[in-house]
Amino acid sequence: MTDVVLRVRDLHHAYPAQGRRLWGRGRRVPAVEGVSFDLPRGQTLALVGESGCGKSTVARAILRLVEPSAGEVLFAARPGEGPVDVLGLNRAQLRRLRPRLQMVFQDPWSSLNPRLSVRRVLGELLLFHRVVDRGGLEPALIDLLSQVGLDADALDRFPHEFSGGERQRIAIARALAPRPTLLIADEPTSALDVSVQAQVLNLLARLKVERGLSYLFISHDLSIVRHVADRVAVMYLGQIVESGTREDIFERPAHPYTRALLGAIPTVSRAKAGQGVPLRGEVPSSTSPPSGCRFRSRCPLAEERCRLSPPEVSVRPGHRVHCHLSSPVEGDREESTQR
Amino acid sequence: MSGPKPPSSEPLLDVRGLRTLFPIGDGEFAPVDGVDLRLGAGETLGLAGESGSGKSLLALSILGLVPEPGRIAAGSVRFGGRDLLQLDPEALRSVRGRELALIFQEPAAALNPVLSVGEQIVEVLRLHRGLDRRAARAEAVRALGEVGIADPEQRFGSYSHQLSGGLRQRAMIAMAMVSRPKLLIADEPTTALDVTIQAQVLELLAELQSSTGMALLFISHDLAVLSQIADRTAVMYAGRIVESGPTRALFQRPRHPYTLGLLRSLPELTPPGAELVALPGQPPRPGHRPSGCRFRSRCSLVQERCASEEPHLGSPAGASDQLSACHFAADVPALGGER
Repeated sequence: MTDVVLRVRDLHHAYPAQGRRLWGRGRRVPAVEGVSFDLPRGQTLALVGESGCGKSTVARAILRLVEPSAGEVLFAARPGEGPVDVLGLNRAQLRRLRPRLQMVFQDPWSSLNPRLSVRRVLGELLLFHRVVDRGGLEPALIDLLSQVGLDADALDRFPHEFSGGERQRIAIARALAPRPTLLIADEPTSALDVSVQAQVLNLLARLKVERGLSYLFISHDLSIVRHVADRVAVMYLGQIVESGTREDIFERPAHPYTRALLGAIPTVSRAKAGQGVPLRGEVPSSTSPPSGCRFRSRCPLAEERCRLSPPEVSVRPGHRVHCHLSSPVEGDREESTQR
Repeated sequence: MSGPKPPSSEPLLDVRGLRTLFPIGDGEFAPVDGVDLRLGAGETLGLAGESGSGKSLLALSILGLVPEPGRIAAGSVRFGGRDLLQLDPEALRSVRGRELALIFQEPAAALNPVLSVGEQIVEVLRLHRGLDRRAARAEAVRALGEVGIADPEQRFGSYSHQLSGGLRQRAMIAMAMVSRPKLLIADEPTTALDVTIQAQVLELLAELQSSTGMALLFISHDLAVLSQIADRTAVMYAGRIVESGPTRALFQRPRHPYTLGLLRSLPELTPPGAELVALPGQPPRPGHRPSGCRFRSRCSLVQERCASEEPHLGSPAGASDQLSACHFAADVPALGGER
């Protein structure tokens, strides 16, 4: 796995059902079921899907903010370095790995301690991770702020003195401080106005090149995903239904759900969205997903055989679809095991 | 209905010079600062703006629902031939219940958690349409069905926490529609919804509008959503309308640098991976608006005149159906033009 920074295989996670005795004790609600993907080094992989599809849980499981019930997460901090089995690490080993694997959250308002100045937030991180010693701290702080487009006078201010966009820049600076290899960004611009969102997306793009970062980018917004992603994985009810390059997903989507999502995005350049009718109904509860293909209860093409688990079909090299109705490209038949 | 019938030339809603003040420090601040707005019967007007632009408070000001300690300081809100600002509280409440309705982003906040959604609609019907309990119940079930809620008889008894976000929004729309309003004000009604559900709700609003002939004031930060639903769009910045016109024309050839900047910062209109053209800076904070043109601190066309002279809405040359509050509206470059 020389060129892959993150490899996830068959990841599972279930949350405890909320305290309703009706459902009995110890019952768990599956949130992620059998998610697998590779993130090539230096690229951006976008996990996209609607609320409740499990995309944030995947991110949290990779960071072990939740403990996945099964699966494998391999992380190679540097090229040529043997991958680390993240789920097999003990607490101390995990702490040593954390600097390489950082996260930026949606809400810059709640992810910063309101009582700490920017100098303390970032300074303590730089010292703790031994990025610099005390003597080199001041120039390192100023350098870090300038990388995220903030002036040195931000150092002695507190989170409430900043706008949403500035706070997200500080959150990004905090994630960058320990010199990560991989940045997991969970809806990093969803709370921002569109003009500020553009600034932050430009910043993330520049840092990717300058720092050689790889991104796992989690978003519900397909127009942003189209802009930032090299590869895209579309999730529905805890599973990846389609994955491929940006062009695969946006120019030749194969899964009916991907097509419906793309058709539902409103755009300023097209009078009406809805190539065809909008998707009917809502996402079923993850406590009782449909058997077989999980999308079949909303799928306009559903047939009898969709009651069975769909095969993984490779419609092109690297472009995989979980659907009974997709036909593989000739000579590239790669039907994998059904689950 | 009482009062003289409006002459046919008068728009349904005619807002002039509306100014709403809030105390700030020793002085007062005007989040809504001299707004003119017209909306014809059956028309959909989109109101665009970033957070803090004053668009939500404009809606509340129109409805006479400005929260304490704010107050309306100037202007008129003519609706159906009378000035709502001159009505006594009793008469205003009656207009709000019968002719005007409001829905907003978070229906959970609007729905009573201890009353079923059906019972809440019954209350509205008894209060505003004087129906008896039986007739009101039948009408409420019909209303829930009309907004596309499957199995309305059974949903009548559901509480808001038992409904998904999409169903809650449908229930709130049902409640707003039972009084047969002439004008529905919708403040970010789809912002909290997933994109496939958003498409359904937009379709529903368009259907209800064509079947009832009501007018719609649709407030959103999302230009793409407005382009799906609005006949005309007005763009608000720092308390003022800076541009308005037919939605299509406005988004194809904006005549105000702010509208142009918003459109250019959209990932949708930029080739994947290319740098987004972000507006610099952020909207002015309360009490820190620049003199003259409020947008000048972020504007690429700024000249000396912009600091001394506040621009007013006027028709730029070659675009008689658009209004722009910019001294240099004629010089605003085309969307795809030089940056």
